[in-house]
Amino acid sequence: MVIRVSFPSMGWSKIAFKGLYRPIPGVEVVDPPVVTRDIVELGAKYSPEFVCLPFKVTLGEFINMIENYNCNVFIMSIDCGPCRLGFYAPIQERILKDLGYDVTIIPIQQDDLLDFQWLEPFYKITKVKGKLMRMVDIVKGIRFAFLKGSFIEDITRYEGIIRCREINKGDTTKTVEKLLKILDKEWDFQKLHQFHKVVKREFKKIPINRDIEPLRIMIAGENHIVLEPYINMDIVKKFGDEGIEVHQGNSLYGWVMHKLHVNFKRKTLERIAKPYIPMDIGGEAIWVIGHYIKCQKEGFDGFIHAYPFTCMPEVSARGIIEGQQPDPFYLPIQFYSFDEHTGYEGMRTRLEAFVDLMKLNRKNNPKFQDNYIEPPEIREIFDIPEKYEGINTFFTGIVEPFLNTLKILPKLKVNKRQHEK
Amino acid sequence: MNQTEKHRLKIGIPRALYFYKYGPFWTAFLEFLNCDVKISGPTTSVIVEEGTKDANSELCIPIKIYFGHVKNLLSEFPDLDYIFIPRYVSSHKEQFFCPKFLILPEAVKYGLKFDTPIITLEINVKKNSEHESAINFGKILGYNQETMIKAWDYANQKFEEFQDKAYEGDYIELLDELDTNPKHKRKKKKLKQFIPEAIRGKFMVNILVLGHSYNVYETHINRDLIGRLEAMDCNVTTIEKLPKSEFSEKITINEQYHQYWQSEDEILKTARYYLRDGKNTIDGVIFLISFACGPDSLIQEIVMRDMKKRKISYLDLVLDEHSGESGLITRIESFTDMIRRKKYN
Repeated sequence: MVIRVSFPSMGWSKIAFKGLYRPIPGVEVVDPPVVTRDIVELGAKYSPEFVCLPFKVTLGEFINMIENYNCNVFIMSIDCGPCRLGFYAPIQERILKDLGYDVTIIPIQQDDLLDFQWLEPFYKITKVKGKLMRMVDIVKGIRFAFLKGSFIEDITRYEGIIRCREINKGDTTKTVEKLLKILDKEWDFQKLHQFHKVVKREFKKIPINRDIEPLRIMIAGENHIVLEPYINMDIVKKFGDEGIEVHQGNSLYGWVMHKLHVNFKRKTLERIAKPYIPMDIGGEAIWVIGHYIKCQKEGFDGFIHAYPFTCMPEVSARGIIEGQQPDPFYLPIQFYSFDEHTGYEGMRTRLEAFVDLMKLNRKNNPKFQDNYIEPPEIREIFDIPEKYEGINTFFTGIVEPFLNTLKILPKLKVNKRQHEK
Repeated sequence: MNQTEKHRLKIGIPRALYFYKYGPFWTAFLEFLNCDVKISGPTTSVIVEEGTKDANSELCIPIKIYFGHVKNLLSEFPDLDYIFIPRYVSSHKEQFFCPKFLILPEAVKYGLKFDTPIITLEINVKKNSEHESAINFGKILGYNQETMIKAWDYANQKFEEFQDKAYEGDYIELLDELDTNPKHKRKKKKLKQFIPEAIRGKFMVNILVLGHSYNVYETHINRDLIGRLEAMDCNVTTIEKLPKSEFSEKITINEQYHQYWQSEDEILKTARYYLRDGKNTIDGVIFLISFACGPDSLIQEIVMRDMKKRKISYLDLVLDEHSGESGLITRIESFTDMIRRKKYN
């Protein structure tokens, strides 16, 4: 029997999650639909009163998938504190069961990925037996997830930088959508390892104006809010259309790398933010402050802090940043607190005002240093010619055939036993 | 600044947040170290207003009140050497306090601007034991290890004594006794009796008041809920009145999940105790929640659904700086009336 499994989408990150579970035998991964107003309203209807927005959105997605997509096994990440995220799954399960749905939520422990508790869902979601064979599929799934996750990060990073320079409006959006569609359907490792070339080739086709020096902003904040374009009103695109170069502080790939203790970018940010927040208090609070101080040093023009209404860690970070303005924190910052009632019109006024403020700040603020450098990504895409990379052939040439031989082993064993009988 | 014989250090403690729980511990601890402990006065509407002015608008009301108390301390005792702001990270392995407690010293230091230095007692059993955190605290004041361990044990003993006393006596009055300042004496307000004298005491209702200690015993922000309930002929039980043995067991939601907030753990344990053993001893539950409280927003859902299943009347009161007195009275009055009708009919 094939089990239909799904998960909350969290923007484009769903492409990576899909890769993680697709190779497991006996599992059919259901593509979670794009978040819409109806889904958010559905979630808000059954949620506790002042819980944070990601809870409502994910609950809405679950209900929608149960009712319309015939799917009632979900994978949801849990944590061990101190933020609310770790406690989503039990409450959501309780609410769904009280509503009368037959639902299974499989928690995936993301507190510390090096203790390998996150491998448990692989064995829980399927009823097909055979441990060794599963190991091969798991490795395959992890490779899909990592590769796809890293390409999603690349695509979204290039998107923010290139959109402000495009000559024909809308080119970048089309390219990004096209690339993500290709990435979603790509299940061949050989092609996936070369996919960064495809990304660069596609972005190279966009005609851009390289002479301008646009305003630079950084968008950081709570992961779900920043990564889910419906919830944050596609803030990256909105700022890009105003002619502003957008850098993004959040990505799923970076988060997973941080949880594997190898994201050194985040480690430096922690060191920068240490006097203000001495420990990880959940959410992205410590990195938001780190990003803010770093951006101020690098001469950015503005900073956007996006978070769900009443998010405990982010609100604490906001309090610290607000208290330290205008000295020593002089970089203009705008806070966007999202809940299910947020509409675009109210946001647009604030967004436009912030753009004007940044322009004036560039002229009038004596502390502002104009040290604009063209981001290295532009050179990467448009100047450096494609070259052959040898390391990837190691995976496609040696690792993969080896894993395939492993896959045959258990079958041989079974044959032997049958023979003995 | 070190402690010398000539100069007794003056340390101020804001009367807010976990003062309502660990206050006796802190005062005993600092007094053993020969410090002059100053406690800010009871919460007034001025303090609340001062706090909301400076704090970020999305913070929960207890933190805003904390800001107000710090400002009040600074204006009342301008010659303070230190302000004592503890950092509670975890006092039990696998458990945390709310994220706002984790960075409380920084939130106050960078949120409000003042010159008085902050002294922090960090309690983090995940990293180092309780005695080690006491020793770290002693390094700032210039005490050696032995004294600090003695101070810690003395404070612990005093704290346990206080809890035993509170088990029988009036918790709020006992807390007020910690502050010897005559200016801060609370005047006892005479509350209006709601029940006519002829039937007073005949139709008693037992009510469990759940919530954080800084909501339940903060008489300004909850408009003296316990006093009012008593004026309505109710026997009020709180978390502190539960036998200590009830808190020793670990709580599980089911085999996959565990609950990781410290004070929410106590609330859940109390709720579970009254669902299981003490089911017939209570008639209704009131849950006090401060607006925008993160952990409570989820725990409230569990408690509510549990109570619904066992058919115990349940009311949640959300507190914020704008909540009026009459709205609250109407709600608890109708709640008690409803229970009374159900019980004595």
